[in-house]
Amino acid sequence: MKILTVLTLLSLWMPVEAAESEVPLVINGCGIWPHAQCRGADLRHANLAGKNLAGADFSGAQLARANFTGANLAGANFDGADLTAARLNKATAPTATFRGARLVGADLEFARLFRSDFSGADLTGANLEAAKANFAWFEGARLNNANLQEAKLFTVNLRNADLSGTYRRFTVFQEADFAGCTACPTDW
Amino acid sequence: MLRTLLLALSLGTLVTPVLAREIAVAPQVDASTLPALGQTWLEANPYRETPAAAAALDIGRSAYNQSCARCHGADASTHAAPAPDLRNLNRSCRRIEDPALKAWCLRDNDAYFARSVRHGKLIVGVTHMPAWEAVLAQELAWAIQIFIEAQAAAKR
Repeated sequence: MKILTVLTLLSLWMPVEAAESEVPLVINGCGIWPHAQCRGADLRHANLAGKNLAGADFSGAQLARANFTGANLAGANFDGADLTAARLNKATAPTATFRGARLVGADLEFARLFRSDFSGADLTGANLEAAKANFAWFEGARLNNANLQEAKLFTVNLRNADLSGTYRRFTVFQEADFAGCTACPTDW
Repeated sequence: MLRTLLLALSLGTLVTPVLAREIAVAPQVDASTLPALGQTWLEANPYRETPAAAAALDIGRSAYNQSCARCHGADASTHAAPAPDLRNLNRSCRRIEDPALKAWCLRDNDAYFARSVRHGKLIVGVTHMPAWEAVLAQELAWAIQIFIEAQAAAKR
């Protein structure tokens, strides 16, 4: 009992910063922390699940089969990156950009993608089941054969996108912009 | 008189939405005591932990309160401002104990800070922060960061 009391008092006495000190991961010359500068880095197969990578720059990076499950990717830059078969399920990525990125077969199930930008991205066969992408842009994006079941796509920009073969059970397209879109729904 | 007042009020309501968009206006600060850095933007803050840091702190405080405080809060001392609390920018780096890794993390953070200041925040077609590159010399931008970091340190 005394030991427990001493430990409790010690934990209260310790400065907050010291208690939270950590040794971050470094993979292939890329520091795994918020605002990381990892342009063009090779992080294929890297396990980045649950990491805080808010504002990180992964533009042009090789991220095939990387695991970002549950990671914080708010405002991160994935422009031109290769995310083939990457796992981004349950990731939090509001305002992240994926312009011209390759996300073929990527798993974005339950991802939070509010105001993210997928303009010109290739999401062929990707899984966006139950993803929340309100106000996101998919302008000119390829979503062929993607799974959009229960995806929340309120006010999304789907101009000139290709949704051929998508699975759309209970998908919400409220106030979406379908101008020039191929195979977009016509009953919204 | 009343007619003029009503006219002014109605014109004001018409103009307000236009003015709601933030415009980058250069702060009126004398930065001549800071070492000049030239036109090419650096990747990392050149004033941190140097003799110029003290001058940068004062200059940064003035520049911040003129150009940033409107959105990020006066004196960078609140988390209740409309825009993010900038004291959190280097929070993750502060937790790293290894000196080399910490310095690396801060360099990455500097690059992010410089890019945000220079190009602003344009998110899916909406300008959340204007680009400052054309109106703010990099000496002032780095001085502002020195001030913000000092405020973050004072918060702990």
